[in-house]
Amino acid sequence: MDKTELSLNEMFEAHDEHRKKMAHLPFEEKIKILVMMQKRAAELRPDLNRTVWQIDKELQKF
Amino acid sequence: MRLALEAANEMEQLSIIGKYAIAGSVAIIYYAEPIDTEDLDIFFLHETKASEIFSMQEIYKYFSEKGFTVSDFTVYIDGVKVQFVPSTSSLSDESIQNAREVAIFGVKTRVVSPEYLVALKLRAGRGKDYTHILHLLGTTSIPIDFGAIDAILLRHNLREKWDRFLELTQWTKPN
Repeated sequence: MDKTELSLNEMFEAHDEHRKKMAHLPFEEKIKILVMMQKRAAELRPDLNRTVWQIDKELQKF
Repeated sequence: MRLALEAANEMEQLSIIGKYAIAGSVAIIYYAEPIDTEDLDIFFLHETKASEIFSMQEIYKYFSEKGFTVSDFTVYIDGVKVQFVPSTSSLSDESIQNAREVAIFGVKTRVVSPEYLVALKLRAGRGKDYTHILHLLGTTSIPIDFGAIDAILLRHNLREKWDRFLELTQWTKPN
């Protein structure tokens, strides 16, 4: 079976595994992901005036 | 974020705030998979009694002298929306007293432990708080001490809420 043919259980397990790997990232890496989420949310719903942390320069150091 | 944490440390050293710890969603991110949030929540101890009104005046003064604007417990520090939240219960007092010492962005600070985060989220009791508990328990990067959670819940009369949470979410302890 190639990687394009996964059972739903295998997909769920792979997704779960990925989430757990993300949890083990260094905190600063996780904050980079958070800022990406904030930017995406702000783009999708500009009407909500979502806050995006302006810390790109600081994050470059990590 | 570094500047926000340095400011919190300095305010603690100057006794503007008591001992503090990072709580809320950023604390959850510390232990688990990243989740969306807009705020860095900083819980702090203070000497104001529950029956008295807490004054943010000293905190406002500290930040206005540094050129930042504070309103409704929120301040933007170097691009980060930070909320300074005075402790409002014996549970949040304990969560700060027992917070973990960590270093993030090169700054020594504290993060509320996952066991207390579960209790605080349970007490808050909104839908998103239950989601955050599930998220934390499901993707934590460190072992969770369920015995400690039981003791905290018992001490703060949260056992019924916990049973309700278990009933609603069908969550079970991992083997």
